[in-house]
Amino acid sequence: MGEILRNMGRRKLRTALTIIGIVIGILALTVMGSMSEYFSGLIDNAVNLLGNNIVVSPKSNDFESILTTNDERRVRRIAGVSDVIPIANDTIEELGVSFGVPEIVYGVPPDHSGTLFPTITLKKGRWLQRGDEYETVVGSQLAKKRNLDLGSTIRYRDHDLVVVGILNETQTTPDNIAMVNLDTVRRLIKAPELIAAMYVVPENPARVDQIAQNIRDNVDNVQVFTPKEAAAQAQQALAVFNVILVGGAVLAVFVGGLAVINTMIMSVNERRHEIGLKKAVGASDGEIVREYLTEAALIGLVGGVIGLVLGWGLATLLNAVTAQALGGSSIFNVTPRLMAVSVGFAVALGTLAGFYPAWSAARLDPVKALRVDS
Amino acid sequence: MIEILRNMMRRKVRTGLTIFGIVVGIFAVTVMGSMTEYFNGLIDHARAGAEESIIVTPKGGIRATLSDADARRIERVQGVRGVVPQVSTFYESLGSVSFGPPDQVLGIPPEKILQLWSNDDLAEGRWLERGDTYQMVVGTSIAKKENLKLGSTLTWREKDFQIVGLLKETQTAPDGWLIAPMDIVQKTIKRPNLITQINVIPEDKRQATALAAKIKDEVSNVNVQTLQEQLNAIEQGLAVFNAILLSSAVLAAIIGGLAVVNTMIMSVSERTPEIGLKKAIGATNANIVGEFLLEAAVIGFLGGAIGFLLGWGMAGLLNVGAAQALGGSEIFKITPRLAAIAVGFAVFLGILAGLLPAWNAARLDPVIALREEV
Repeated sequence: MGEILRNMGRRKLRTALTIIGIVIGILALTVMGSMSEYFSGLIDNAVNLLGNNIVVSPKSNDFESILTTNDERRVRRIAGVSDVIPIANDTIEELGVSFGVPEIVYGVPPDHSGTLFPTITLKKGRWLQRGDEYETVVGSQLAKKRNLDLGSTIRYRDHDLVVVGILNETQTTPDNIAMVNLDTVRRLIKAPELIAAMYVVPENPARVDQIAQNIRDNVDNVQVFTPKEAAAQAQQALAVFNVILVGGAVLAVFVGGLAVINTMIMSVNERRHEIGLKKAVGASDGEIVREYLTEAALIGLVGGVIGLVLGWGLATLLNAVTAQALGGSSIFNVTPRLMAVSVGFAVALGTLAGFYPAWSAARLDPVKALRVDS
Repeated sequence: MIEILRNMMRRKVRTGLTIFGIVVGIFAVTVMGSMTEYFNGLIDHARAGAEESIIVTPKGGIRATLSDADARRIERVQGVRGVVPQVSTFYESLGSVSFGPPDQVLGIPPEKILQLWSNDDLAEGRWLERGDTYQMVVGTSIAKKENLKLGSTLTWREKDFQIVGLLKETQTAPDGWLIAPMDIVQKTIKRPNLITQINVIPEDKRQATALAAKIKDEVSNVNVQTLQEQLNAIEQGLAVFNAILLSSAVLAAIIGGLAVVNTMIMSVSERTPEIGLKKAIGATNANIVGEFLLEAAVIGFLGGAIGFLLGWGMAGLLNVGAAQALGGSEIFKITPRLAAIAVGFAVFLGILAGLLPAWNAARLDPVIALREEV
């Protein structure tokens, strides 16, 4: 009896260690994955925000290449263009090395402050209007971080900007912007003609691709992105980062899977007698394979679920910790998709790891298996 | 006999899998680590050359610039021996993803070059001189990328530049620099008075920090940092990046370590009679512990060494691939320190993983152990 208990205790430890391996791997996958989900989310939101607007920016992203009012006029003349919204952006403060989104001043023509991003709405106050000078409409994050309300001020280039409107949350760039009259920004940065980018409103949203092509053909020195292309571009940039982020975690889970193979081989070895007996009383190879595959899959499932829960907890914790530094943005985003992928991956890996041991169990000759162990 | 061989084969698979787990973990540590080593190396090299120079950059947002007037104001501050204004811009428009410092065209007044550089910095040719126009001195990586030699001609922004000097390799940003006369660069990018950075040479290098503070007080609208401060800021940002890069890889290795625990527990339980026999004929507890710890350490060492070698190979491969994609920069750097850490970590993990099984083995009562299995 003591012997059996001790054996079970040993096996408990072994199984537990194997599961912990998977747990740690899935934990890493969940945390890293939640970060990459956050970044993908940023892109999706940004694309939604654009609506049907085409973005025109300088060809090179050097500080020296800018667009001018000449370019604006050229774009306006293109067939199918309903309106052009020029913007001039600038950082509110010095750019430091940080993971957060920088706070940006968007100079926009005041009467376009509400149409620049067609889907954003005001939470409080009003949009900019003609005649505004040092008035500003700020994003939700910026307001939260600096504790701004209507009437508060932000210091920008030695001037106080007065908050007249606060935007609803968008989960992307506009959360950290302060919209200011374009003329004011141009004056403060001493670049009267500066255009950092243009948002082109198409007459017919169905024809964005055609209009984008027209702009490309007729205006030199610009890059033109339809909302779809802008998304593709951003996703490409993110791909490398994601590979690095998630790659290491996937390797970790993979190592956990190797441990499952080991554990299952040991289990099969220990239970040769039992397997022989089962086969002798008529169990088919398929039944034996299924038994061990199920055990391996179960190890994967338990490890995956525990890992996911712990990872979720850690992500939540990290969000709380980094919220202060990043001004309330949560950069670890555990999505349903990520959860499914994490647990699914663990189960798949467990099952995969069970194949060889299960196969070798099924292959056992019942006569030999019974003889050897008795 | 066949049975024994089969058992050995089984154990080979088990040991092989266990080692493979460590291999994968250390492989990841090596590859990711080589990337952090590259970035750390950039900083270290920059630091070595830093001396105590002061760098003045424009204050304000992304579009802020400096002017001649700023340079003159700084020159008048007491304790300043000289100022070297510069304009820098990207050699190519930046792609969406890039690692390491981008290639830059740097405009410096030729007569001031020797205040920042010396003839020892040149591998071949000469520095720019007063009267030079479309001449350039280039760094090693850009020279390699564009296949430049003394006397070659390089076309940049539709202008032909003649290469008159090649820099020695620095393993840091200057390797990707193309240095040309400032006025020519300004003219080529069509920004006649643009200055992006001013290097300040202090009369007394030991007083650099104090002088930086003084410039900050006396000249408005500029950022003043000693190079050391700048590097420290970058290093902080890098620490987060490094943590992200390495954490998953380290976890993978730890999971590999858990598998070692499992394997060693199995070994101990298989060899129970053997251990009992050894103890019965006088082996001390320490002998037994030593035996199993050594076994675990060897597993760790083998896994670590193989993992490191594979990682090294992978880094080399990635460097070739990355060099093609990113233009000459080798961003995976294997250092002796990294080798020691990777293998050392694996051995340490192995030993740690062996502690519990070894202790279990030593604790066995020889009488019971012998009786048990026979």
